Amino acid sequence: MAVTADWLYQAITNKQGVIVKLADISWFLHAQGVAFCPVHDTLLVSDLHFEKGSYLVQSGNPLLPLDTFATLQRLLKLIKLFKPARVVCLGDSFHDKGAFTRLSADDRTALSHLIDMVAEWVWILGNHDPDLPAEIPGNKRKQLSIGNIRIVHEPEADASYQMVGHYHPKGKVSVNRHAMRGKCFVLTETLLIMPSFGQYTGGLDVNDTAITEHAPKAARQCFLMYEGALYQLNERGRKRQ
Amino acid sequence: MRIPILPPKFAQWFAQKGWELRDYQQQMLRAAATDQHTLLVAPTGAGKTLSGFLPSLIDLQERPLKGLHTLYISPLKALTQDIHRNLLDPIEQMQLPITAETRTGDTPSHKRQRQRKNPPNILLTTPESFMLMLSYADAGKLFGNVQRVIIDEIHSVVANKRGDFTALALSRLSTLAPRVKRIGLSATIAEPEVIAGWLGNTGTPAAIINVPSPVKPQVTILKSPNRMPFGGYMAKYAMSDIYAAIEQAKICLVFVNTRAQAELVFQMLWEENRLGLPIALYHGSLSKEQRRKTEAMMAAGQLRAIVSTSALELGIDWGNVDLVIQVGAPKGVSRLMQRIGRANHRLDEPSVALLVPANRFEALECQAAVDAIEAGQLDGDAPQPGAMDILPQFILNCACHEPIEPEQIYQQIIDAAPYQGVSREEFHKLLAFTRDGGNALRAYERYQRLVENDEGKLSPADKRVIQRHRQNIGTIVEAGRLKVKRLRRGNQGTIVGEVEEYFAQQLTPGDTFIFAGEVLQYEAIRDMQLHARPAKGKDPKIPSYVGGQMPMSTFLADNVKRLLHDPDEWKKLPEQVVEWLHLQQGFSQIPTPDRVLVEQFPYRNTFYTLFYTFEGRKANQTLGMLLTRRMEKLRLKPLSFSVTDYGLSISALREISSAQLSTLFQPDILGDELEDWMLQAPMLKRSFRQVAVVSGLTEQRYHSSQKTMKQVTFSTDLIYDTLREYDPDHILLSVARADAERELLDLRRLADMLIRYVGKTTLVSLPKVSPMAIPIVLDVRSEQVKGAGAHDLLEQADLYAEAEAMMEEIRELLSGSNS
Repeated sequence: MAVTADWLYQAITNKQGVIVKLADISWFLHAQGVAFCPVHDTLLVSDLHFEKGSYLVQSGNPLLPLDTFATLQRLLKLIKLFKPARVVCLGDSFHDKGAFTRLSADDRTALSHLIDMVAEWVWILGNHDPDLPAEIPGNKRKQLSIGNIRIVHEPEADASYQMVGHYHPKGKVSVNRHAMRGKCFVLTETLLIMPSFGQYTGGLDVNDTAITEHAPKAARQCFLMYEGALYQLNERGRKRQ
Repeated sequence: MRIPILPPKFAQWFAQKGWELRDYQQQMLRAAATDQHTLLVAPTGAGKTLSGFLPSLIDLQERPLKGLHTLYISPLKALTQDIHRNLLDPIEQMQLPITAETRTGDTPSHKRQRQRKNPPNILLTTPESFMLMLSYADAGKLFGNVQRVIIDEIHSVVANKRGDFTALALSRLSTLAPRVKRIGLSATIAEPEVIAGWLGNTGTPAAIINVPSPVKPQVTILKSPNRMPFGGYMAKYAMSDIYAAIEQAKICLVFVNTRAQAELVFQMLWEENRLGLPIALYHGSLSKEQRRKTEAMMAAGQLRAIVSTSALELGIDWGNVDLVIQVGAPKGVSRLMQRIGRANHRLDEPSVALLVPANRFEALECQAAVDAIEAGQLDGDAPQPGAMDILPQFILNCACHEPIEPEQIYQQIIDAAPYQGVSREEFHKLLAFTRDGGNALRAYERYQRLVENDEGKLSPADKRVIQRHRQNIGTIVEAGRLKVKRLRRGNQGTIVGEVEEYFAQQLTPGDTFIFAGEVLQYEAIRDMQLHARPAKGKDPKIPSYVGGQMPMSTFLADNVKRLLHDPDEWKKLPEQVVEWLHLQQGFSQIPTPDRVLVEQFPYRNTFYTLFYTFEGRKANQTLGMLLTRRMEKLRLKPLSFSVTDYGLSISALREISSAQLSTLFQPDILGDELEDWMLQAPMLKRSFRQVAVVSGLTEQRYHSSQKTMKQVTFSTDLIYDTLREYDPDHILLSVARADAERELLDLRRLADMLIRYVGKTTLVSLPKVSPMAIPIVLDVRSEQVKGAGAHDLLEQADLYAEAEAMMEEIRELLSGSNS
């Protein structure tokens, strides 16, 4: 772990992240869209959607499928920054069934290199990638527990605390008639919804019923990623812990 | 030269009508016997359109044939209907063996099918439908015998993307129909040579037949006894005067500049309508049925007035209109003349028009326009190089017709005048993009849109590619649209028109808005339709339309500046305007031609700085982005800027000192800040969005499912960021940049201005907004600046805890970990 008290202090002062608690475990939410848990030395990232670009290319879009490359580059920087013992990818890491076979040789090498950098790599399975080919290194699991928190792609009714991906939340804040938009972390007493990390992933508004159903406005905090900084949205909701 | 005599049938028909063959009509007939492309420039009411068709009618009468002989291309769908009606008159009355039909996006598919199998002799169509037909596999057969192509209202397509698109289609037509002659019909314009160059092939401009305007129109500015506002665009104060004018006229056209204005002015006029005069509404977002109904009522003389946007400004001939009222600033002399020309469609009598400025600043613009008309001056768009994002569309269009040989396509492209400067290298980059996205950087197993056959020719990879392309033909990227369904019972109702998706998204159920001349209550969006029912509501919203704003010609801006500077000229202005100018003089200053006046005042919790440049919207836009960039460096924390034709207003969190102003207003910002800004501008992202759709990177339509514009927007922004970081030389990025420079910026004019005014700025600090600044700061469309200011704002709204207080949490967080 590369995180020290001074570094964190600096990062928080520069608005690169905030500290939140879920089930009594502290998490550092980072403005680049990952969550880090120092106590468990774990870095959490969600919805990588590798090869979404080439998936669209297959249906005739003259897109440049640079997205996997770009996603890997960004993830590499964060792994170098946090140096975690464990990386957990919270589902929908691969955009579709054929995504892994479409990975370019370079991207495949870059991905193995990333996985080799950490002691343990966990793939949580999501709706886009319910089975992963055996040749992909790393643990493949439906879910994982960190303390009392269930780490799973989509929320499950029987979990007391959980961290999920799937929804790609994004938010908007208007101040003085200026609107600023970005991806969001959404936090309630029992749930943390991670923003999507993949380069070509879009978002769902935090006020969409699919999200408010699990995280009602009055019971949540939203943290907005905007130009490299993290801001809490003022929804007149739950006070800071 | 032998004067061609009208065939007896035609001579008889002319005689019956009491007409004589005019000089220029003879010239047109003579020109038809040569090989030259021809441009006819004539004032409205001169019988332009008939003279365009006359040679075709005579030719077809003498040598009847099966199949397409003449194509007529009009920029407006409505115009094709109207011209079709007018064309049927001579055909029916002389019983000519000629078929004539229209073909637009509204034409039902069974009719299209039939037209393809059994084409009429004369087809009236739009550029988009024309391009679509060129993509048919049997396009060669369909167009092979076309003799003439008439481009009506040609002045309205030159120097814009639609014109570029049309130029390419014409170039393609010339390869399919080698004998085809182009005939351009244009209203009176400043420089016919420019259009003649556009109309001809590269290097050989079309011949010009110029018909002078005999009488000048009578144009007056409304002098209302009511109080004219300082700002605002709706001219509410003048409604009773406008109504009185309608009452006195026989038939009146009321022109406004935006669809929102049309809706509101229509509402306000009906509130005045004590006599219950038949007053109708017309704009491009109303449904086809509604528009047709209004057109028919107008043609039948059942209406006293129509409130309309530019949708009715071109060519439609209704004879009896005797008054044109322009509400709001005229924006350009040529445009105003075009509108005024709608009144009294006869050559020898002057048209009568009334200008109604919506605020006092607009009164200046109205007066400047009246002066220009008096002096016989016109403004015109300068030609610009063709938009590159259309080329992939064109390449694919050609390939859908038949396998293409790249070099031949390149030749066809440079044959279109706007594209004469396209280099082979640029072409090949765009071709590579069209094939497979142009991924030069990384080896990848590619999906190809175009595949090469044994002869080295390219054709679409599969039917899907063709289908997608055809569904997405067209250059004008419209903001996403939703159909508006007016519900009566349950979910039953009729489609009354369209609003922009952006507007629909800000409605919540129960909100009311004005549409198609009535108040509707929003219910829901279902299946890409906005459902609403008639209701009574307080404060209904008014749909706004992106792109509804027309930039004023720079020529008119110059006239405004001159007018301001000369108090002797003020006498011509309405009294209230003069009073307003005196107020400005007392409170601040009147801008002078030799210095740039800069006002600064607190407003809405920020500092506003106003630069009165009078350099036109594009130059002000450019200046705005460069100044905010430098202000960011000076830590003035700019938030946003908005531009008008007259000036630029910037809002920032900190005040500018006069020392800072002199470092801001320097020519070197063109070097230092321009590159910097270009890379980060949200404006460039917007250009990229358009470029992405036009070039086929993302599509608006696939099968019947229309991708919502929001989906397109989101993904193109992501693609833009990715390309910028990982493939900065990608062709689409340079295309987007060229597009932004072309559409939004005016670097040359800005450079001139900065050099001229170095050290010649006057900073006036004021306690509050000045009279002259009001209309400018009230302009709601502003360009946001990303930077420290935005972060500061977020912080104000943010519940961010003090970092100090978090130290405790941090220690707690780290306790138990082993670092």
